[in-house]
Amino acid sequence: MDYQIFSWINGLAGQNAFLDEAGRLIGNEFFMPSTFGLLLFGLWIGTRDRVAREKNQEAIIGVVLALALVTVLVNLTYFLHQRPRPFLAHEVNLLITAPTDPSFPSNSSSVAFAVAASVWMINRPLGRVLLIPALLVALSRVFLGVHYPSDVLGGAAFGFFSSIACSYFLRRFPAIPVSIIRVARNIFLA
Amino acid sequence: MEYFLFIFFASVAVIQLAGAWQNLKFLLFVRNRALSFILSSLLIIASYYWFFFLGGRQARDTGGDTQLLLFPAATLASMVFTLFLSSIINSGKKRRETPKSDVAASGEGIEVLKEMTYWQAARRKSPADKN
Repeated sequence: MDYQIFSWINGLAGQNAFLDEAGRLIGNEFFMPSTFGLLLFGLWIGTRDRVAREKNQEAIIGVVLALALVTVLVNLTYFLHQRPRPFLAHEVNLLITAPTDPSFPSNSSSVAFAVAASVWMINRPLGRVLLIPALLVALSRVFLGVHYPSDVLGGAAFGFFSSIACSYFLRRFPAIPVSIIRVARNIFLA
Repeated sequence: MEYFLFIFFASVAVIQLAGAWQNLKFLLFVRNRALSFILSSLLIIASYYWFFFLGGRQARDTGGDTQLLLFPAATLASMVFTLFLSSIINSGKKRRETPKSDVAASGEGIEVLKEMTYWQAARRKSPADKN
């Protein structure tokens, strides 16, 4: 089933030059994490209303924590279980250079969903918007031939879990984000 | 290094966009807000084009862990660069002695940059300047 879905999505690769380029852009390891990061950086400074800005800043602190947690979880899973990439086991349309780390879970997918879910916990409209590029990242990784669908689903689950855990942690200890924002305001950076 | 430069220039542009949006006049390199919007947007587009479309970087997949270090380093560097350069550029502008907004009058937060440069705000806050 996993391989069948993979074959169907990856089978679309190499048929349309524009689709291939779009897949390479969205699914490469730099584009979406950097775009998410720059967007959140802009929100940290650029929200006009102070209350809304502090809400966004709390969300960004949650994102940073969730990213740290998901990175640890993903690397721990890589250490415990090394699933071979699809291009090592099957004949696939590989559109980017072959990654050398294990296939499960998808790191890109876990990062994208950790960001989107962490923002969604505090800012629902923006979180919903960020879920769309996160889904596109997951889809593109299968399209590019570097992950099975179960890898990106696993990555999404890791991302959601990390953001829920960090959100719970920050709710239990609200003084942490408040203190960080207060320090940043004291040096005119928030 | 290329990734650092991409994030550095894009972050400088994001800070200028955010500053223009919030009307943080003393954070901007260019006085005209509309021009600031246009130049910042162009710098973001140029940074993305250079990094992703020149040199085939969109097809690379080499493990993303370095991003975890380079992204915060580059954004921090861009913030320091912007605060330093905007303080120099706007040092000639007359600082508003009686702040217009209540928030800026409180003397904390980024809103202060509507009324004075970062350097002036830091000096106003430092005990040495008060004595």
